[in-house]
Amino acid sequence: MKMILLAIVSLWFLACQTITQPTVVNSVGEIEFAQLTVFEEELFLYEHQGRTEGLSELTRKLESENEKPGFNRDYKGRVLGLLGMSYYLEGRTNDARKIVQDISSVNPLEERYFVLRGLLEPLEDEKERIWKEGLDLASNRGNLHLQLALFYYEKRDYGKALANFDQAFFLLGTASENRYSEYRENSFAFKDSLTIGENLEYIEEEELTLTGMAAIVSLDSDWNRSLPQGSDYPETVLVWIGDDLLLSTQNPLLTRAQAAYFFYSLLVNEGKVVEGVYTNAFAPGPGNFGSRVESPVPDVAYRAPYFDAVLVTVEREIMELPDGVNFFPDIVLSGVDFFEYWEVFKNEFQ
Amino acid sequence: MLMPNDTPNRPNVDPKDRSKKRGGFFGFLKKIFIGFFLLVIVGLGSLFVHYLLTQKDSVDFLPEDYLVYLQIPSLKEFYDDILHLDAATIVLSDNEMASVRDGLLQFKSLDVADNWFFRQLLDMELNFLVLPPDVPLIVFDLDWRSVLTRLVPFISNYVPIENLTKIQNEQDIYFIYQIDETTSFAFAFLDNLVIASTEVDAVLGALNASREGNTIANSTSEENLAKLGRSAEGRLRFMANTDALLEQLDDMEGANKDLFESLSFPKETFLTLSVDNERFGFQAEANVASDLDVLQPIIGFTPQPLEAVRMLPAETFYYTGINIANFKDMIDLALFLQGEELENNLNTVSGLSETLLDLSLDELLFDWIGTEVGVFGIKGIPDPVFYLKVSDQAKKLYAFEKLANSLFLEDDNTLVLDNVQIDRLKLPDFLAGLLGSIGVKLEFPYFIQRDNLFFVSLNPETLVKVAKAQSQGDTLANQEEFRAITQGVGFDPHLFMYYDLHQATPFFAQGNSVMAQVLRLYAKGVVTLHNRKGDWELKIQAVKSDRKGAREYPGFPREWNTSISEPLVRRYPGKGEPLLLYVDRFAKLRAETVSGTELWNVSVEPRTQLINADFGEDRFDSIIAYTPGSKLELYDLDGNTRHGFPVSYPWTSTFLPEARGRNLIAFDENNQQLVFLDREGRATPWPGIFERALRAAPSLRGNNVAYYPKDFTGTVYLTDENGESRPGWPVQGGSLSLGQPELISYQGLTRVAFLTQRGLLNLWGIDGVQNEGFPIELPGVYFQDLEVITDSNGEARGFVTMSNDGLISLVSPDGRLVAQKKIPRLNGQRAKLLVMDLTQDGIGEILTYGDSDFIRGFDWNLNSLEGFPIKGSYRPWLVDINLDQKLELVIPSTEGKVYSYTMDF
Repeated sequence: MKMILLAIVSLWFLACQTITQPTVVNSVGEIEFAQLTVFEEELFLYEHQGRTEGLSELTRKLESENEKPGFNRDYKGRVLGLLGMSYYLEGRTNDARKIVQDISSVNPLEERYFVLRGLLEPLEDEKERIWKEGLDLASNRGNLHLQLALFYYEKRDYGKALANFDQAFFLLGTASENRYSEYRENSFAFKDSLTIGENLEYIEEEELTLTGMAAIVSLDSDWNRSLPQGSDYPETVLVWIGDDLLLSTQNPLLTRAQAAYFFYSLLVNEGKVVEGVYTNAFAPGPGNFGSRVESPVPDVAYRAPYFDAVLVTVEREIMELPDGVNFFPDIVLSGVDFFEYWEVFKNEFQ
Repeated sequence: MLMPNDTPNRPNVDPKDRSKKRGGFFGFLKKIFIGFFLLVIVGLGSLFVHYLLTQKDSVDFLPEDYLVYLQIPSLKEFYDDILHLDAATIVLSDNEMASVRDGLLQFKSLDVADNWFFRQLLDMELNFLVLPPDVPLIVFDLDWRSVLTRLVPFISNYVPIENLTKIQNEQDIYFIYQIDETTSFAFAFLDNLVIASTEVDAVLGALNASREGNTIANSTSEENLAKLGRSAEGRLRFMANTDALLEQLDDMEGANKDLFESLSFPKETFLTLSVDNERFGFQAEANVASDLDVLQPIIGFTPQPLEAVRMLPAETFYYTGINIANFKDMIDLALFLQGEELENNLNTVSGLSETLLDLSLDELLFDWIGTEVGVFGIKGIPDPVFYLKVSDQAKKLYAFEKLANSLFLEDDNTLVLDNVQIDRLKLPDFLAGLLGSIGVKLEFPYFIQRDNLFFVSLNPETLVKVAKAQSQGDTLANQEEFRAITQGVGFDPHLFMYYDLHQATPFFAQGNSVMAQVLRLYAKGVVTLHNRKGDWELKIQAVKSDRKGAREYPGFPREWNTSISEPLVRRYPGKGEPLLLYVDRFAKLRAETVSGTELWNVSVEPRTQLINADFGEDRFDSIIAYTPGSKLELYDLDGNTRHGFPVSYPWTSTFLPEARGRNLIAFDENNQQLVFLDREGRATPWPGIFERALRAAPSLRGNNVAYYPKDFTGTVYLTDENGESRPGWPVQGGSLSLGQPELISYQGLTRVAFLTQRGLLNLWGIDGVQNEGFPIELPGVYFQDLEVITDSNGEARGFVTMSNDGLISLVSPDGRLVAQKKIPRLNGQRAKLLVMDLTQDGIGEILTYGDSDFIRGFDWNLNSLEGFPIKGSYRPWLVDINLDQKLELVIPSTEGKVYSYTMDF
């Protein structure tokens, strides 16, 4: 309240300040924006794609741009931000720290002012606080969202990582999405899970092996805890199913059909499904023995060993028909794919 | 003498006499009642007489050392008018106001809030003061209502009230009410007054001030007191104690402090606020004098109307103009404020100018620059335009001629753009340096002159726009909206600022302060500072943002613990704000207000999910949780388990139980039967027979039941309420589906809609015959069920579908494809569809959620709704957070934030 009176008297002087600080109400124009975009795209290669060659050349260009006269503080702040990042990526942290000071005097609202401060901050909690502070001032900042997304992903706080990846992709565009879509998809798959732990290295397998599948399941503490009587059920039954799956193929990679069979076997073992339920249901009637039975899923033949498994898992919405018609039984699953099915299955199983 | 057999003369009592006797008893009661009644009348009469004899004036209890004083003649009117403001919502969204906000909303949610009698009780005067440093003090004048409150100190001895403490010292009796661990308020009853504050010392201070006479009544003229209050136009006028306020300003330093200390202010300063949801107005008036020489030309100067206002192009989005006596005065003031550095610069410039140009500093600058300078920006161009008024054209030409002769003007100095000639000037380094030292960096600017205004910019395009605007009349001053904003504002102020928040935010509207947030509600505005013979007047006038659609609700986003299943947002009776209910990752069922006050939490089993249903008859009164397995739990609104719960069932439901009427519906997989669960947890099987399990709840409408036991042919069943198949049913939908049939009403007849995974949209009549135009084959694969859009009568208006690759289709019940659009980045396998009436026109809009941290919103043409996409991951909920009759969206996010948006369409 005390500021009201101060404002009355000092507004005159504030007006003078306003005239001399047009950046406060200014924004970067089209030409400058195009120039910044070029710099941003180039920097992205070094910051996120692992490129190193030519970084010093970019630094020089940014230094040169920074020397140019101009009074658009928004533009100036952004150039400084890029330059600071460039220094940081070159390992010139002292120069980067100096740039942080420079940005604070030119435009303390500049996004990379917060990005750099966070990157230069050794304490994890403080890092997070700085980046969140930057977003509190203006939420439409893709680079800050991306830093937070990677931070949370590392911390296995997947819900927060997911939201920040989404915001970053929306604001930064396809380059960031192409680079980090896998992280984003993993975050989506893990966001509600209580069981990401030792099994993460298997879940992250691009092509899951049968051994990896067994590891994901047996290392799932939530699953073990929820089983009746805390029995040795997993040990015996999983080994049995695993053997069965391995015997059925020479391929050590887990296919969709094998995953279906795994789920089906557990359901049968638990008495939730009658073995051969669909084989029996589709069996030729009296008098037409030997006639060809048309499978409701065209790429899974009635006589296929996993016919019942596929129909049961699809019918129970554990797995899906990707195109609404076929099951694609031979496609190899990634760890994340299997994990997502596994999470659905656990609910069904209980 | 009595003989033994004689009986005494007993009165011969007949029944009538008995009744007389009883009448006597009732008569006695009657007398007691009348006596009591008379006693009450006499008591009340005495209290009333006491009231008349002891009536006090509230002004006698207002301490003179206040900072700000606001008089509200009627609390009722204040409640009716002011608290419905969007601006009030912002003020109340502050965390420190949480208890006030919650209390207010609890009150607003009660029926009594609209009670006529109660509102009359509220029709009382209220005095609101801010005492140093920032302590609120409220003095209510209860007037005739105090007849009963006079008994409070006496009654409180016998009626204990929880959290209320009565304290009596030598002179006063007062009370302290503890709201929570950190918040309490103190109050005292004094005849017809109630004095209340969050600080005990403030209440005691007011009582002391009254005894010692140190009150506003003695320190302020009646004339000034009469100026206060709420005018007929709805303006609120505050009085500020200038001396007390100035004492607070101890954080100023240097020249600013010298300057400030040189000013003399009146004892009282008046601030006027007029605010509604369309316009915002603020005015402060003070007679300010100063003995500082440097300020004399400014204080004593009577400005002329700003000339540049009529020349600003229509696309101008900010403008600051200053009226000055002359440029030299302004530089002198700058020298005073900026000190030695600028003075040195100026001396250097003066020396170089004389050496290189043979011009004195006066000739170079001060002799020709006139009484007006300013800056403005034009949409789409980042470079601002500076301008100044030329007071002496001949002297300006002389200075320019000297510059030209000194080869400072470039050879190629003219540019013709769009038929406008624009010149360019290379400023001498020393001059550019001088300007740079005050932040104006112009080394090689373009310039034009129109009339006697000289415009300078680094971008020639801006100058073309200035020239064109003037010649074509396409100026800001000709815009109707600008005229509306500046209505009642003179164009002859010392300072004039115009801003458009749609383009950029000026310094005073930036940040998260309450004032900045309030100002941002009003998109375009002007700020002026006038001085009329020493009377300074600051005015802010702004109009509401005309931006439609979803906008962030004040106080959001806020943080939460995040949930592993879908949270619920609901308004419960008796609870101020709607509640957010969820099960966190540590298996705690949590209840908190949507703005973040935790109410309670209870432990539940892992994987417990909340059911979006309630057994209450007409409004929510409980919370239902379900654990796969199957266990049903029912909690009351304080987190207590309801009697008879939890209930465990010897079967597992194939889907999360759903609400159907006042029951829940589940599917018992063990016995292959549909089950209704009631408020007591009783499970009643439905008589229909199922060959296969249902994977989602059936659709019920009237006495029809439609369902799809999952199979690969898409076979859909329609039965009566007893499970008897309707003639013509079952029918085949074509293939597997991940949805369920929907019973709808179209043209008054019941029909069944059903979408298969392969995109076959069926619509059958009750006889099992496809409606004309159906089935419709939609492109793509469908992992989400269709949504039905209905009108306010429950009649279907359309079906919305979403394919896995983000193709949304809107199909009318007569078989027309109304709209179809592929939405970029929409993952239709993960996203969910939702139809919600955001515009409150009776017909729902289309939302998608769940595939990302964005909620998308579409109208019936599948065009994105204004303000969308908005943030959030879980299902959006439409609730009235602040009971202002407008609905807000509340959306929790996996990011750990809860978002809320107002809907203005």
